[in-house]
Amino acid sequence: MSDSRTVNGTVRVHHLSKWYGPVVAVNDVSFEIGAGVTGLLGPNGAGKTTLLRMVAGLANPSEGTVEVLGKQVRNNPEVLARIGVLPEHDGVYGFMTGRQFVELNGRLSGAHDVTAAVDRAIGAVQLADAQHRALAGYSRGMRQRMRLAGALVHDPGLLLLDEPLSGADPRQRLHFMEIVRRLAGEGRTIVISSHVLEDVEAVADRILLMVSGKLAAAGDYRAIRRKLNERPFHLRVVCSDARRMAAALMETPRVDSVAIDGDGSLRVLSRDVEALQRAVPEVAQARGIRLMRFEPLDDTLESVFSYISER
Amino acid sequence: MGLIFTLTLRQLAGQRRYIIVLLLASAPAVVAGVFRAVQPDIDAARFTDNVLAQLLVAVVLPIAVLVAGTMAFGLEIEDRTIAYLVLKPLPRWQIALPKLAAALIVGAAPVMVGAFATVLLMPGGSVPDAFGVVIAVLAGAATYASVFTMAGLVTQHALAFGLVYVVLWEGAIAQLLAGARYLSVRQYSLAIMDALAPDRLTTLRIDIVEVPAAVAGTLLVTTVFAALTVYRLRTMDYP
Repeated sequence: MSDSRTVNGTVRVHHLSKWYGPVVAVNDVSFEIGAGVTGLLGPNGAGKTTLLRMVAGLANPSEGTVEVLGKQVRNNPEVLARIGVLPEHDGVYGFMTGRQFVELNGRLSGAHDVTAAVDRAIGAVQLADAQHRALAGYSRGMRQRMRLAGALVHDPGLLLLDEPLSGADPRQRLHFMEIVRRLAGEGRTIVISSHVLEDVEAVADRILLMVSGKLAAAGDYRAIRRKLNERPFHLRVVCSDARRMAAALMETPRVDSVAIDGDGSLRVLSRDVEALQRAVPEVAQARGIRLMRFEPLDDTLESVFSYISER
Repeated sequence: MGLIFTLTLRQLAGQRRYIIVLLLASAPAVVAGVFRAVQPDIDAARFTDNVLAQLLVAVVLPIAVLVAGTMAFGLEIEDRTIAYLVLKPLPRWQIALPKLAAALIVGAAPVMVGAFATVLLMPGGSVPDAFGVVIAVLAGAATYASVFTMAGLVTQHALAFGLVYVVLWEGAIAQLLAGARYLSVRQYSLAIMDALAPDRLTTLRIDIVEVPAAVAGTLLVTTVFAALTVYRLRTMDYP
């Protein structure tokens, strides 16, 4: 077991910035994380991958510093031996079997008793049956799991997983989450990035929220989730009788306002998402109004993240 | 280091582009064999010297090593697999040197076999001459491999860059300007070949740099570009 599992502040990021010409990818980000699962959350283009790449030593910071286990990462074999990274892009050596790939990672990482370590890592991701097949023939989900085995094989105390669930189907997601929970239970420090809050909250103790290159929020995921549920929520309703529906919805306690748009659809505002979602079909049914469309207006990830970052 | 060397051998030899190397490498021997069969009265010495200088050293050797050298890191960058190597607790030279060695073997081995066969296929071709030619090819290949492996790490257009370099610098400028010859890999190979295969290149009237300059140039360029590859690997942002 690596000693990083018992150290607080495994990763220390201090005023970190990265820019590519005029584009600022990461802007003055500071944080510190220790054992457990930390979710790095944000919409696409928020700077999550750039941040993780700098933490892993794959990219040079333009400004600021990154310390892992109290030392700089880049070109530092001592630190690199104790971290496992699952990069965002799922490129693999397609001509290798899954086992050969994990073994290569184990040997290059200096794992002890490589055969046993490879067995253990492949067992952890439950791909023993597929280990002798060429990686080129794997599904994306299987490839992700075998890549995770490659990142795990030398038993690192710190795991950096960049969008490990992108492209995974629901079953693969559940399976992957189970693996992450189990690894976290062994006392490792795990950072998992995603643009899907539900993916991260299922496993993370703590969330770092990035928006437009900045750290918008950091803390317990429940507090962030609470903010999310309290945000104003717009819903568009298309029905057979807009005026009667508007009047009925205004009598509903959790509805803040109702407006009728030029095309005859209703724009409903509420701060209680779940109550509103329940109320609309109930009101329509009770009044005999035919409900034709019922959709959120501003539920894009960007609007959700922007709302949280403004709070 | 052996793991990265083996990995790179598998990567390079498994590429369709490698067929170009094999076809090119066999070209001098095929040309020599065909001419010997259809024109038995050919001036064998002059013909062999022309094949060695104008085809083998000027075209086949640089292009074969260009293809292999630029792929050594180019494939890792293209497939975004380089992270698996640079995230390991290895000094960067332990990544760069096996890649360079693999590019050299994959690019040079078929050219060396082709060169050996070319000399022996022609009337009067001797085994010592053939070995001399092969060693000259190996020296040139090492220098080209070092330059082109570095190029593959610097730009995604390394193949185009390499072709321009071979045609413009090696093919034109270094042939026309006396001073530029001392910075020409083709000249280094020809000088070493001239020294190690005494019966070869004698029928051609070409200006070749002195052997010590060729040996020093070969060692210097190979070492400098290998060091630059390690430095680039230490400082770059990896894809």
